[in-house]
Amino acid sequence: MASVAGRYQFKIVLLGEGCVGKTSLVLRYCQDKFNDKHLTTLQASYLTKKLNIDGKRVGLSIWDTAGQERFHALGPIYYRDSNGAILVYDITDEDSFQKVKNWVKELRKILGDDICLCIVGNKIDLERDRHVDGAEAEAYAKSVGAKHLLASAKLNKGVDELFLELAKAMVTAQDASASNGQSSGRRGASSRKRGVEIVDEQPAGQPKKGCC
Amino acid sequence: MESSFTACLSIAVRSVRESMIFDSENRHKEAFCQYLSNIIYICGVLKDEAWQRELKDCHCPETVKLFKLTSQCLERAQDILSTSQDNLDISNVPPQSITPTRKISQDQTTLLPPPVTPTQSPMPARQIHPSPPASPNFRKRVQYIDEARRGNTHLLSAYRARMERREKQITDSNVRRKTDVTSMNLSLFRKMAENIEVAKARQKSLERKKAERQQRLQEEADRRMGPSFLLTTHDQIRKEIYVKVLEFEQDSMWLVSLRDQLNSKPDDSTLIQHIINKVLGTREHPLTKCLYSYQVEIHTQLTSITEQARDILTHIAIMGKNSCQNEQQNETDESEISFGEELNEILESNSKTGETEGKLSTEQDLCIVPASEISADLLSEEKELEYKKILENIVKNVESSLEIVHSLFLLVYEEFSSAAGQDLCLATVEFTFFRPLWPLLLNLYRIVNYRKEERLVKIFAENISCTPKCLNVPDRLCLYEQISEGETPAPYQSVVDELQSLTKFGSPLEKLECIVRTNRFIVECVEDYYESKGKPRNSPETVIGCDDLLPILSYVIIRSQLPQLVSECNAMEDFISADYLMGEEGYSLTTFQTVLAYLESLQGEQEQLQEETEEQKHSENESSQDDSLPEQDLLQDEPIQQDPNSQE
Repeated sequence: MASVAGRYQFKIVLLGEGCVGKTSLVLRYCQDKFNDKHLTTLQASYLTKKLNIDGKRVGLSIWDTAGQERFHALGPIYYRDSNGAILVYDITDEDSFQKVKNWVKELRKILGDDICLCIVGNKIDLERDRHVDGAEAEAYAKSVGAKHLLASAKLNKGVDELFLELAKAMVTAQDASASNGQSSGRRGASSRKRGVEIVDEQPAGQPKKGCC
Repeated sequence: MESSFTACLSIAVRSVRESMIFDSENRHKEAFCQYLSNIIYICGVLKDEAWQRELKDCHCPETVKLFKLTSQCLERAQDILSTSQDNLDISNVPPQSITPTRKISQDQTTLLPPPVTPTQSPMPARQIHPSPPASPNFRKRVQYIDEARRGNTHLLSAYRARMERREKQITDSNVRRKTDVTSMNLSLFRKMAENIEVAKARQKSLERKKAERQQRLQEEADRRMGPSFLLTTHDQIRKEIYVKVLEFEQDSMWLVSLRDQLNSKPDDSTLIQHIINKVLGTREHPLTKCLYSYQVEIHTQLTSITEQARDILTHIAIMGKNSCQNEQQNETDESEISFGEELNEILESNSKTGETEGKLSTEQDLCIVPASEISADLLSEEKELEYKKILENIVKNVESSLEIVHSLFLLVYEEFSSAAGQDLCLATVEFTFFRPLWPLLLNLYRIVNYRKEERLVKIFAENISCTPKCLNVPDRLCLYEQISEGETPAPYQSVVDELQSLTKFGSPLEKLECIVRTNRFIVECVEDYYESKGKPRNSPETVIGCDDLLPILSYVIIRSQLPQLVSECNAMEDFISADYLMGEEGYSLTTFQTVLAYLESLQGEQEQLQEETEEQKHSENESSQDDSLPEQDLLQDEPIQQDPNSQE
């Protein structure tokens, strides 16, 4: 878990209603490279992935969350300390997009601008049944400082891209906060303090908004 | 002319012998006085003689011997006095007594050839090994003077035995016997004086060395941490302990050799673990002492609370008993036993705790009151807040203690500062630290979480016969066949068993591992099930997303019937560093907490929950479940969500 120099370790939460296919997205992303190899961890609910972005070693741990409303009130403990969030909606389901909006609000409320957001419209293979207006979604994402991407887990389209985009954004954000004098090893093994909750990094907000 | 000296000598020798007999019989006061009167007598004779004739005439072998006797008597008397004072303080002995004695004893060697020395004298053999034993059990260094004295006692007894034998052998020649006795007496004195002398010299050089070493270690500490005046008090304490550790290490060969090993293999994690375990297994090690002192401090705090809150604790114990008779009770018993042992070892003085625990368990047996009856007045709101504050303080205390001990380890062993080394170090320190404290700590958590646990007990009881289906586990993960076969255990039984083993572990990290295993077993369980049906282990049916995991876990937790999971999870969250909680461990714990919170929120709705079984219609769920949740659109995703992978 140590954040050694030149290595980045990020936590990503995966949000979205149960029907939008977030599990498929993340499984597609993590399984593809090791197609025949069986996943040994908690299957689709907790997955890890290693990336190399411009020579920087990036480790992602992806936390699936429950989309069901009865567990919703308990979500915030999942978000704690996360660097990024992937909010998935189904382009054929307007309601799932409204849910995404709720989550964005909640995440910003709890984590402030400290978290990089990526809104994903899944199931673009069902484009003909589209119920969420693409331009509207794009505009919304912009207004909340989030990236907006389209993907299809089924066709394996846009999956790698969305994780890569998010990872890049998180690297940029961490670098920015590090150069802003915030300790980059916030979660470093050396400073093993439990009380390190999210520190509101006001000055870091600006560049992050731009890149997310 | 010389006859007066000779006469004096024989009288003196006899008298000295008497005093030595007193001495060997531990009649210190008599021996002391006798020695002193010998001196007075000899001095008197010498003075009178010297007064009567020329001084140079006084110089003869007899006077030399008399002087030697005097000095020996003086020395012995001094020793008696200093030992009787308390534990002798050798450094107080005035140094001038050494010089004259030495001269005389050297003279003596020329005058008297060393007579038959008792061969069984242990002295030489002993002095060959002044270094401490190279075993982990460090023994306190034996003082050289003590050693010498013990050696002398041996000499004396050997001498006495010899004299007795002699008396039997020689019956006729009186003259020979007398001279023999005198010479033997004197050689004995000389030998003893020499022993003491050598020991004193050794002691002195040892002390000098010690002082030098202290100085060197201090410098070493300065080098590592900067001079004292620049440090905060906290760092100064750390520095003090550091110096102590360095000092301790000088006396313990095994530590030095371990350090050498570490130097050659700084990344060897088993070695690091071994070293930490060894250090913490050694009571006298300053680091261990430091750890113990914190442990004792926290333990004292905790016991006083346990005492106060005995009612609630008794009640909590009953709660567990009622809800789940067999396993639960066994677990509590076990933990009590281990608790007693561990702590009695650490706090010999604090015998109170054992009693408290004993009383507690007897009360458990005596008053079995239904959980719901007393609960209301047991814990007032203010009390609960108060306990919460206490808990917060203790948590802080524990954290800072662990941090200090951990940082001390890193200070003492620079090699541990790699990320892996640090983690290992912390894990080992925590393990040692928490094991004896955990039951008490958990008690406090359970007091604070009393209401929650009580609620859970109810919910557990009402849902004990629940199937996975009742808890909205998707059909494909209900593992139905297993139930219908009748004889086979209930679904996810292996997961329930694993979770129940959680109570056995005594440190947060071990418990966390158990939580992770529990989560993994769920996946395994599902895979085993589908494998037995001829499907590959990673088929779409076995995919478990968070949406599936939470209901399954709800089922498992209800089956486990462990209300204290709330407290255990709380404690884990408090004591396990955030770094650990980034990965799978953190995910597992978070999932557990989520499910526990969900189960708690079910209060008063269990009936509805069971209705779900019969109805099996998700539209019904909406109306039944929404009381506690603000959002209205409940579970509508459920029917569609059952196979998230189908779209691929």
